Amino acid sequence: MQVLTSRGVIAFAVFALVVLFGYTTVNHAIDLGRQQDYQPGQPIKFNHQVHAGIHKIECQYCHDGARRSKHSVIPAVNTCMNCHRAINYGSNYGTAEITKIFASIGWDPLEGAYIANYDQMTNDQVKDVYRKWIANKNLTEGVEADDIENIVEEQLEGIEKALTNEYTGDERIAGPIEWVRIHNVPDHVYFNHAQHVTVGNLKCQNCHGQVQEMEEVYQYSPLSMGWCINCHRETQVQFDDNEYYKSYERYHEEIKAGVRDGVTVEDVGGLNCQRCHY
Amino acid sequence: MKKQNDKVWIGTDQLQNSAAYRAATDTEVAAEQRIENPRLEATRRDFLKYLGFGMTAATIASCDIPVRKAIPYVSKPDTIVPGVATYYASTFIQGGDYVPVLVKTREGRPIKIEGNSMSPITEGGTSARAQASVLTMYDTSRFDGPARVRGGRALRERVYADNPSWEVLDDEIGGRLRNARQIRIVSHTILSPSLKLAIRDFKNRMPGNTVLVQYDPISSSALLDAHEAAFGVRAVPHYRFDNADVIVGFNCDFLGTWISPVEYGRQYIAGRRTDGRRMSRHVQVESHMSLTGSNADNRIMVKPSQQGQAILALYNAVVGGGAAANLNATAAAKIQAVANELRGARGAALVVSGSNNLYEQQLVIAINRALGSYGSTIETNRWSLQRQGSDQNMARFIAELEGGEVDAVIVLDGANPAFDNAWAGQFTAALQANDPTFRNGEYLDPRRIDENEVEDRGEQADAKEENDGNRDESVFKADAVSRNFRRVLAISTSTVPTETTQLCEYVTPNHHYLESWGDAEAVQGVYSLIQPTIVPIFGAVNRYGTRQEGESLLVWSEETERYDPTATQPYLNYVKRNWEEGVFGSQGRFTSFQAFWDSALHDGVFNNASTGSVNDYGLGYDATATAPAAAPDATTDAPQEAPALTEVQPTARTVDYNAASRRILAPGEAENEITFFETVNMGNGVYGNNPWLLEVPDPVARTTWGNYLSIPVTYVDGNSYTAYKDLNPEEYKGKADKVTVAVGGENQAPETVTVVRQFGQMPGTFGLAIGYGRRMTGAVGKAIGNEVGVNVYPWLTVDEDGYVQYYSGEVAISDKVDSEEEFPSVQYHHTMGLTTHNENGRVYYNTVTGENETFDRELTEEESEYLQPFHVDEKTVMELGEGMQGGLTKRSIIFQGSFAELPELREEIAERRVEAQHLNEQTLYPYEEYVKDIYSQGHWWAMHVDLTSCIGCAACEVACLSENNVQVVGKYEVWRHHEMKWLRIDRYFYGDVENPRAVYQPMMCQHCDNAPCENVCPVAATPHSDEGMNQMIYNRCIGTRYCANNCPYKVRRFNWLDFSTADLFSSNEPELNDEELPFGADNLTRMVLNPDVTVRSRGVIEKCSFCAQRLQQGKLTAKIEKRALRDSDVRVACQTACPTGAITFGDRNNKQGDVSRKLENPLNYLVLEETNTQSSVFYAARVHNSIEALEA
Repeated sequence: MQVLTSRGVIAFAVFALVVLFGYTTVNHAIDLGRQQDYQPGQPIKFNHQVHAGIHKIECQYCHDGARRSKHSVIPAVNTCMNCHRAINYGSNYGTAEITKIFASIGWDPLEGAYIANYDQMTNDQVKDVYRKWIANKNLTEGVEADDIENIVEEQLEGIEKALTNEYTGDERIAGPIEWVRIHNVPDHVYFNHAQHVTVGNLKCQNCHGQVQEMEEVYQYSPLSMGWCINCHRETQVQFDDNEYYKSYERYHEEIKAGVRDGVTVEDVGGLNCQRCHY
Repeated sequence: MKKQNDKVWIGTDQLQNSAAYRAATDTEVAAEQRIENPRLEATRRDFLKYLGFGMTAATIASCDIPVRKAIPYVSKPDTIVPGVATYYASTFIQGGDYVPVLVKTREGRPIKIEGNSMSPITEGGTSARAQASVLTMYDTSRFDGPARVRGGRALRERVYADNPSWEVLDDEIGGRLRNARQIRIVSHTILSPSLKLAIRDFKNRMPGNTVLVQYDPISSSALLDAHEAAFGVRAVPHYRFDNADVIVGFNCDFLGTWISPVEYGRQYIAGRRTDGRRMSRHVQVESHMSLTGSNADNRIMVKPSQQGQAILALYNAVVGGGAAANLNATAAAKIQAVANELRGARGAALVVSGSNNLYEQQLVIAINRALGSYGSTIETNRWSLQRQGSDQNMARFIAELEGGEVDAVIVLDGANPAFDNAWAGQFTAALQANDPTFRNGEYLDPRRIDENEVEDRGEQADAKEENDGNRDESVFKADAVSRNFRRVLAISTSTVPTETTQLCEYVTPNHHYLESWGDAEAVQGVYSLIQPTIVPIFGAVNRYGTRQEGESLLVWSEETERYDPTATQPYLNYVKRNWEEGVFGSQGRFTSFQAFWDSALHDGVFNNASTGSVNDYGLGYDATATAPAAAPDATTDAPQEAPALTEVQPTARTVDYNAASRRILAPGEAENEITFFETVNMGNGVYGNNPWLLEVPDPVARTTWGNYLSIPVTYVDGNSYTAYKDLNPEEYKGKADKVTVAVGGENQAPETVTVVRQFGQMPGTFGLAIGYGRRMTGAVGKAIGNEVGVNVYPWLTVDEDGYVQYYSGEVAISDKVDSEEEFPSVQYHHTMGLTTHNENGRVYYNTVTGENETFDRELTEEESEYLQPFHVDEKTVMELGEGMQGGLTKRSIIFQGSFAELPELREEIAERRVEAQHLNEQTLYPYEEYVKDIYSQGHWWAMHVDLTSCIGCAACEVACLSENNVQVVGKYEVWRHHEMKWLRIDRYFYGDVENPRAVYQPMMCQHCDNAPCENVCPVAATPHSDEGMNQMIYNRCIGTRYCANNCPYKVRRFNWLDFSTADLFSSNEPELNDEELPFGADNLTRMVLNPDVTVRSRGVIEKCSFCAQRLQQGKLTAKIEKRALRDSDVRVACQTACPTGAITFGDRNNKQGDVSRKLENPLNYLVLEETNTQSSVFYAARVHNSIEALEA
């Protein structure tokens, strides 16, 4: 016991506690604002596993900005409609979720046509259109007739909740879908998808994880600066098959001479601050 | 006696170099900059409140991360990819100002204006005004729908249902217009053929008589009339300054403001290449130093009232036979020398005059004919239409209005007849007399207008109508509303509230040009299209919205044959129809209209070989038939042989020029004269609500936020420089004096004006800019330009031939009456001549003993005679304390020389560079090694600025603001040295101290490879990149400002306040001009921000980034296309804005690139090379080509 109460031990314990406390504090402070594993609920229970996994739809079919823009782009509703004109009953949720995209853009699945002047319609008129549809469809899919009314009202409520926003004053069902943004980098960071996808030939899964296996998407990577930098240090650029890099003459010579194995992003200035901050 | 000075200098104070001046400026940070902001008042309690709130806010903020939404399109337009910019060709027109542009849009909103390089007129050049025009679209003052005006205010209710819709007002206005017998449409020069056709169709449909009255606030009426007399065509000749070897300008600011400055600037510089054998010569005759005059090789100072005599003297010398000129001997001798020079350059000479005197312009025509300019320096097959106004027509209109002969006035957008002309007072009075809500000199409060009280005026008006003649009275007596109709129906289509909208009865706001369809024909046969780049903003957000003025006219006139109001875009169809009937028919390149239209719309411009005719469609007074196509001729009464004319058969008329010469005004006898001139930023006042333009320093005077009376500076024997009445002794401290200026005798009220000392202002003359002093530039509480400066329009006079004169011989300048303590001149801000301190005080160099001495006190006067401030110079770098060379001149900031002595100049530069490089080798910094290891591969960015090509027009300054989200700070903050410009244009004088030349030096971050700022940053917020760029990382910056102190070029800017209005506490936001919501805090204004550039918050340093976002974008494009980077991928904002191509940017590792070629110029030097900064911006020395006989 003497040993444990000796000044040396106490001093050490206090020191260790301070270090531990400091370490935790700093670590948590650094983590402030980061949201790895962030998995918010979305207005539509869009299932990447079904779309990208089972049906093997190419990521960039929907996220068509990734190859040419800084934004990968959440697809516009008309992109959804390319398939969902034909597919109007989901394997998991039936009419509950798919009807939301119909209600956003104004597709009348019973008529098989877009509704004229849809953006002028009131919420009640919109609901009438889809009330009929949900009832009909669920009947044909074999739902008990007694349950239909409940299902219809429940789904209509879901549609209204998903497509309106009381905080921003968006009271109308018609119009765009407000998705919750999962991957956020701070405003002072410039990130460009095209650079990584088209020039760097990176797979989407590199940063976003195995999205094709996710029923509900979450943030796979920390999206911290350390994570970015580390990747820039390790990743080889597509040096040989891009004429652009011809201007790095010395690297080419060194590769030819066998002094150099490859060129990382860092070697072509990928750690310069102003690549991402300006 | 005058004195040739081989130094360059920036102003009187610096030239005089008094002890007090040195004391105030030999510190790196000026004293004014250290003043606490007295406008910020926070008590201790406030501090505690903020502290408490801040802690709580920080705690709460760290607990929960806000949920961010991503909202995609419902149906994405094919042309838009979020995150990728789309460019549309369009045309900036504002009255006669004309620049074909490309509009950069992001996600459907225009954010930046670029020049359209396919235009043969501007070839991609822009002006400050065109660059700033994108901001006016997001002006919070804009009308969001049509309105009635009562009590001097447009009635716009918060409840939208209470506002009248377009249909309601169209019915009302249309009915009343059909009842009007005399309708006048008042406008500045109209460049749009479709708008003219709309007016024609309106005129044809209306039962009454419609007359279009075009006027120009800065009038070229005499120029037009002189050409009409000589050639039968009332238009501006199409000048070709590039073909001229000798250019003589008489009070004509063709590089800055006169008619088509972007075009003329480009042409002018094309003729001034320093690498060829030929360089044009330019003599300017003027009293006030204009932008053009400051660029001239020689200036002859002549009082404004003697301009005519100077032209006459030149006429006598070149043509002969005129009346004897009455000019002083010195000036006469100089004019003779100019004449000799002109005669020597026959066929490549050009004389232009900005005068608005008919006879002077006629003599200029005669001189140009005699010199064979027509066919060489003046095109004979095309006329320019950029000025069409007529002073006489305007005067006639005013007389009609006052005489009660006009029933309806429609004022088109841009025109502001209640402000911007010599008759503004009469126009205002006439419409106020017509306004029942205006009584006893003031407006009734529109919300408390007693209907009964107003009604008597209505009855009076009705009674007058009844006496006047028979008309359908039912319109006037139908209901309570129409009872209050005014006798003269006045409608304005202005987009923002102005002095004129206040007087009108209705406002039917026009679209901004970026929301419009339209066209323009600035030079015959050169057509350009205007296409919308955004959906009309207000109509799209549930307001009644704006409507194009041409469309309004067509709707009111119920024109349905040529115009289909039911179409989705009726005015587009109308423009297309006009083009199909007009331009398409006269061209031979396309066979189908659709292909023709698509091509023209894509290019934005269409050049027609066939020039068509100068057609005003008979819209003006008395116009009977349309004028036929005609072109100038050199044959008729010119004694010299004519140059061969191309295809054109002119209808030149005989004009007796000798008779004209006898009608030139005798010179004024007055001691003092004053000129009223236009500035590059404010124009005629129409840009008065644009903060970007208000804060751009006038290139010559370097003052912001207002107009200031230029007073002459004279040099009195020895070393004494005296300003007029010794005013403004402390300009360098940001203080100025105010005087009272009375122009035009006792009728006009005198004004109190702040003074600025101006080199090159002729003794006995003064200058004051036009276009300032607007009372109403926007909505109440939102207007930024109200009461900025002094309005000089009331001082304009009309000469006996009916032309407005922009000078006055009747001027009285008082002694100092007041002082301006917040003088927003940037002249003495961010200067580069530095002296130094050591730990014991200030270090001085003793010129007697050659020793350095340190004093910790003010010097006595005796001491200051032989002690000079010790400068940080090259020698001190090597041998501290041994000798010194002070002053600006021995530091490599400006090199200048004459074209005749180019080899000497090259040698001087080479010598100095060798010296500097020798010094730079004595360093520990392994620069060569870095070059070898890092910069030699990949990219190594460099910029080249040709000081001979830079004319100081400020287009780059505004382009930089627009591209990089640089904030404006307002007059008060400018005074405190807090302007945020990343790119400033330094103006230095050299040569004769009373009549100097100027050199403009665009100064931005020099991206030093051995940067002094980088070493001193404690947090590595400004490191160097592998591509030779000095990077500024805002999110790392903690605001120590060490870097700004250590920057020898003084290009770093600190966010002293929340200029971007992004912070939480509004007390940190500066007000520009007493606006309710600080500029930039509104979501509408924020739409102009470039989303690729971080908006900087308070407390961080910022500076030129070489447009890093454009470089990254350019590199990415090259990588995606798997090809080498081209120069065209990486064009920075200042470069693309420049009308003269003075700025070149590129990768200097690319040996075939533009910048590498420019770097071979032997006139290149680096600014402050001796400080071993290894900067990346190269400057080519200023070269002038003076006429020996005009020197001294």
